Amino acid sequence: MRTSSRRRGAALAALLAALSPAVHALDISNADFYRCVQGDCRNGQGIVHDMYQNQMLEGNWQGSKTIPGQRYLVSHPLTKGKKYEQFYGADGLMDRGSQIRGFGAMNIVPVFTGSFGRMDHAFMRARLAVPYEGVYAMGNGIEYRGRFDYMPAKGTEAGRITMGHTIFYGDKVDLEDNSKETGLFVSNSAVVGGGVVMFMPARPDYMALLQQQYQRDLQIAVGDFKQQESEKAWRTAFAILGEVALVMAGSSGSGSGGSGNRFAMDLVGGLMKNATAPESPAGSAGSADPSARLIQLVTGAALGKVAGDSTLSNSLAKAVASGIEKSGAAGK
Amino acid sequence: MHRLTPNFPRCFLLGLAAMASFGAQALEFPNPPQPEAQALVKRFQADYTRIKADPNYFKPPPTPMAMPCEVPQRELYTPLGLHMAIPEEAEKIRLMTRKQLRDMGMDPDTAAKPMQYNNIRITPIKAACAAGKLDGEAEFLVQFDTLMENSNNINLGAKTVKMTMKMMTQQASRYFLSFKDGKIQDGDKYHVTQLSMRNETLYDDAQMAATMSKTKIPDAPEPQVSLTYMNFGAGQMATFTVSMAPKISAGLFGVNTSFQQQLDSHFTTGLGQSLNRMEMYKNGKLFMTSETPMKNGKYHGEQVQVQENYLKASGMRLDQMPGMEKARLVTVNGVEMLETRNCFIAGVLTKAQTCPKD
Repeated sequence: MRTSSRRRGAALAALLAALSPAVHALDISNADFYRCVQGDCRNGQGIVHDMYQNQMLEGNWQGSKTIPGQRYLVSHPLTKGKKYEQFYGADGLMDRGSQIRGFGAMNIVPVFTGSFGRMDHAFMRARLAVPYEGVYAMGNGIEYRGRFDYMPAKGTEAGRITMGHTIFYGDKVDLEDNSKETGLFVSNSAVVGGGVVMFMPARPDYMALLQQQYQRDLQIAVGDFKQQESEKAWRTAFAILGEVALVMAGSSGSGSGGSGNRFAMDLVGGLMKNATAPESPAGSAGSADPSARLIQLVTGAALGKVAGDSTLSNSLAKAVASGIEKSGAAGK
Repeated sequence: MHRLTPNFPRCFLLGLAAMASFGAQALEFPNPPQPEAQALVKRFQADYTRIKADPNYFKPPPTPMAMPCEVPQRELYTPLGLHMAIPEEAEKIRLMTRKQLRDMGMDPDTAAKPMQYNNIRITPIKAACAAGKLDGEAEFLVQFDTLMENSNNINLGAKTVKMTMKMMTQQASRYFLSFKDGKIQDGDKYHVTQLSMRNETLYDDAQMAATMSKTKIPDAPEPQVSLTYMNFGAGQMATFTVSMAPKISAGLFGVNTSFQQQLDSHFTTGLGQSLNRMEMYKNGKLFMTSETPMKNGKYHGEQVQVQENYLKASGMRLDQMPGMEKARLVTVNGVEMLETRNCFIAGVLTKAQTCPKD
């Protein structure tokens, strides 16, 4: 009995790990975005190609992640061989150094060099590294030197693409005509870490307008998240059911078909019940992933009902973990 | 029995020619509310029919007249739309554009190459001089070619592809002006321009060139014709452009393009005054209106634009589109349109909740 509890606990731990919110720390094991081009990019010295931003990143890797305080070098085809330094924190996010904004760059690449702060992006439910203090050089002789801040934006739909406004206060320096303009500048909402940030002069009252929009978008995001959570829960449920069906097919004739089917029905029934439940209150969207909580509760309850059959319980726990893993991969 | 006037055969033939040149498509004309604009639409209809019926309208006369007196190039180029062909003026514009492009995060060395003017020919059709200077009503035929070229580097993984875009035009215009003592006079004036455009994009990568050739949009099969009516003293200008607009659809082996005749009409009032108003129509449909306060010749104050709700076509809400903090949906003549507000301070687009009025 104790063994089967432990197994259920392990399955649920795997479930929670698989459904935890996206973390924006650099993880070069993600083959969709990164390709190791030289050396050891798992546990050693290696060069990795960031295919999304078309950058090369070289340094020491530990478990395909950055090592806090170590120096990494980043370059881009348009930097013509020049390499920029980067240093990461214990959370895997950038602490200081240069960020090349190479996405969609055409003859020149803008580079921010300085320190980075942390921002909890309410619309992506993730923590990001954002420019804090330094120089944003556009690569064409215009530089923004001073203090940066960031305001998350919803974009087309919350939870899809990391968007936000970069806010700057300091000196806009034009090295070509030796002019300087000091003041507040705000960008249109742009993809974080992606393409060119284009600043426009702003009056202080514009910040109030952005704040109002942020609050409005938080309300809209509640609906966006609920829809996505529902889709995610169903995607996970179907993946689990698929794996459960395989287990049941393998154990047919053992007399455990009824328990397995009950498990499947309890899972679907639990999800249906949740889908028709009243909406969660506004502002709860940014807390722990409700989809993960729901799957945890429903599968926990369902596994409890087959606890008498330890072999089946064990097989179903594995099937649940496998289903969750597959649904997570499909939902990327 | 009615007697035919002596002009009948000529009018009949002109009418037939006009019908033939319009083909199966008839132009849809706008119906602006302002009486002045309505009058201009009527005038355009008559002028366009006459111009399309005359195959020699944009050709020099068989025996062209000589310029009646020597006119400095600058005095002639500016009123005849060749301001940018004067090297010093082109340089001023280039420097201004360079700054704007850099502010927009672009590389000015590739993006800001000035337009090249070639093969400029100015033929007086009607011109007279007094005391050695242009004087009185005048008409000129202006012909020239332009070339605008820019290059960009596109990053494709490990390789960088150089893309060179060439935009070439052949233009011929008839200008109707009035001079006094060599200087252009205020009052009604207009010009008609025929423009043929050819675009070419080159890649220094054979694979890229082959891929892009499948999605190339062909050049318009007919030149576009624009008629511009101006009265700067009254702050008014109207432009009517008839062009062949491409209609693109996906095909089995690339894109399919067909062309439809389109009329774009722009009405501007308040030129040189404190409030510049613009109305734009696509065929008979109101497409966009704009009101911009002006100060010292620059945008200054809150610009209000109302345009076709393009978000509706893609099923998007206002909050799903970046940069719409100050936008709202409004109804104009029973049609839902998108209103956006931008703040300009001394010509610079500035983010603001409340835009200064002075």
